[in-house]
Amino acid sequence: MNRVRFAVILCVLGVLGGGTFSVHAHHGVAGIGAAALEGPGAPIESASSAVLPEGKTLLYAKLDDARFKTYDPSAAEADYSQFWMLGIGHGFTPWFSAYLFAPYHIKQDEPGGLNSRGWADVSYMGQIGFKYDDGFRRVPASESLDDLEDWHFTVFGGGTLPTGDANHRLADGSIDPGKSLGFGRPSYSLGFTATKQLSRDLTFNLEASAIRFKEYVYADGNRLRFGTETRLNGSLAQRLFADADNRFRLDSIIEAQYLKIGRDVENGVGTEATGGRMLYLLPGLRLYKGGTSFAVGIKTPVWTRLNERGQQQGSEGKEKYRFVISGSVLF
Amino acid sequence: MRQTLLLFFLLPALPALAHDLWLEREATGITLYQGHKYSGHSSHGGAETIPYDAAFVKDALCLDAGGRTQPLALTKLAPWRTATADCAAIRVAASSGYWTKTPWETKNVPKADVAGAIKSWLSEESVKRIDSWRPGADRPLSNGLEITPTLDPLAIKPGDKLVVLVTDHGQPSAGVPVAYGGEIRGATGADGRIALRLRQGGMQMIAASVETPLTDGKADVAIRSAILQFELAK
Repeated sequence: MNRVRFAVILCVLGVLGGGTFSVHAHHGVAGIGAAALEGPGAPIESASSAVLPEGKTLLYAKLDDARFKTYDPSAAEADYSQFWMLGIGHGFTPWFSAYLFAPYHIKQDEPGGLNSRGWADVSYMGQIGFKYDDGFRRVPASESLDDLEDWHFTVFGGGTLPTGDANHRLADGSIDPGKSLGFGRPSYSLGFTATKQLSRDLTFNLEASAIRFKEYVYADGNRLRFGTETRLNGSLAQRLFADADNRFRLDSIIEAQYLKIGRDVENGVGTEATGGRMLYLLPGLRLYKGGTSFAVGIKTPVWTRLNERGQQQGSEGKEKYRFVISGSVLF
Repeated sequence: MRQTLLLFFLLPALPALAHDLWLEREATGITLYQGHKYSGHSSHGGAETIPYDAAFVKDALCLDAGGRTQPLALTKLAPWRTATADCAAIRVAASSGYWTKTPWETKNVPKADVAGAIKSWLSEESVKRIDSWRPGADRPLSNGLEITPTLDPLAIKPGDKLVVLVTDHGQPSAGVPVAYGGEIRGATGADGRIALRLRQGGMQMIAASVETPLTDGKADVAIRSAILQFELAK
């Protein structure tokens, strides 16, 4: 089954940036404040160890636009997939945040192919933040820049709810689970992040996570369980520029993403042309302006070990590139 | 509310200090200086210290070896100096009075005394120097804005963190920006505390400042700042 599975994106959003502290420059002059745009940076796409401040709400939007390599001019192969995502998050305590995401997917084949588009399964996530500062402790309500230099961690868990149409019929009346708008049943995820500000300008981030799926019986009688997804992502964010007066900061980011996808199981049998291992590199930029943050990057597979690589056109690891852009605002 | 710097929350203003105040231990006692010796910048022709009037100093307190807070005498000459040698900590409060900014200049007068006032403020400063850790040193010495270490700062090694408590009117003060080494490192939490990593040995200067509206008609705001000073082995 050649397809890019629905991204069960449990993105912990990178809205990191400097806080603002007004400084009166001289002689106690109540002049215009200067902002200290300090603090750790954030990845483009991976989960980070930032939790939302208590009582604060985050709005988020993301586009992951995957363009695929094509091999057979005589066949209508997968052309591109667009994974749009709207999200909202809230900090319920200084150390616990919860998110809800609504994805909209477009899966487009070359002319003559079968396409799908629509709202997919909503996903949810809860995230607990803790840190190491002379022992492990939950993230406190207030941290100084020096506190932020400590190791920070999160564990997160969540999943999807079957709100999308798993039995979405394509133009020819068929059901292709790879192009369906849902998994049919809930999926579950669990993950861990670690973040360390290595220096004033450089931040390291690590994410390890897994997503497991349940078997679903489609309307056409077929049973399918998607293979487990396992991720190990590492990133470095380098602060390039900060303009205190305009509350502006720009970071460059390089992210390495290892993804292992288990083989799907269809009607009790491992499905051909599914699953494999791959490594993506995702260089990009993150811009902070006031309470908003924008990230953009180009993600490309640099190493792949797909199970049946000759038959997996249109699946993960077979992209020409993925254009990733996201924005968020905190209020 | 979590006040991490990573989020662009607007935090209370931190009026930085016009000039540093510091207490210098000398052969004749301890002297109050004003200038830029520890802040690393100067716009006064490179001068390390800047003269001030004797009236600048408003109050001086000593924490003695027994943990009692005693007033120290104010002097008629500047710089202020005390020959008392057995203070574990000394706090000196000062004020340069009212300042008013106009489109043309900044003058050391209330706003009613000049035309075209843009901004005006009352400037109040204090510095507390700790030379030894004695009973009572972990509590504020005054009712003014003050920074107090929660444990012996002289026992801290460079690279370690020190938690300080910022108080105003004797109570923990939340949301007060605090600077170390000339850089703002964060704001105090609801408990008035903030953790700072001491970067190097030598003289340590931790500063905090708050701005509050004034209703006396002489200035728009009061800008009050406090410095905690102590020395680590290099």
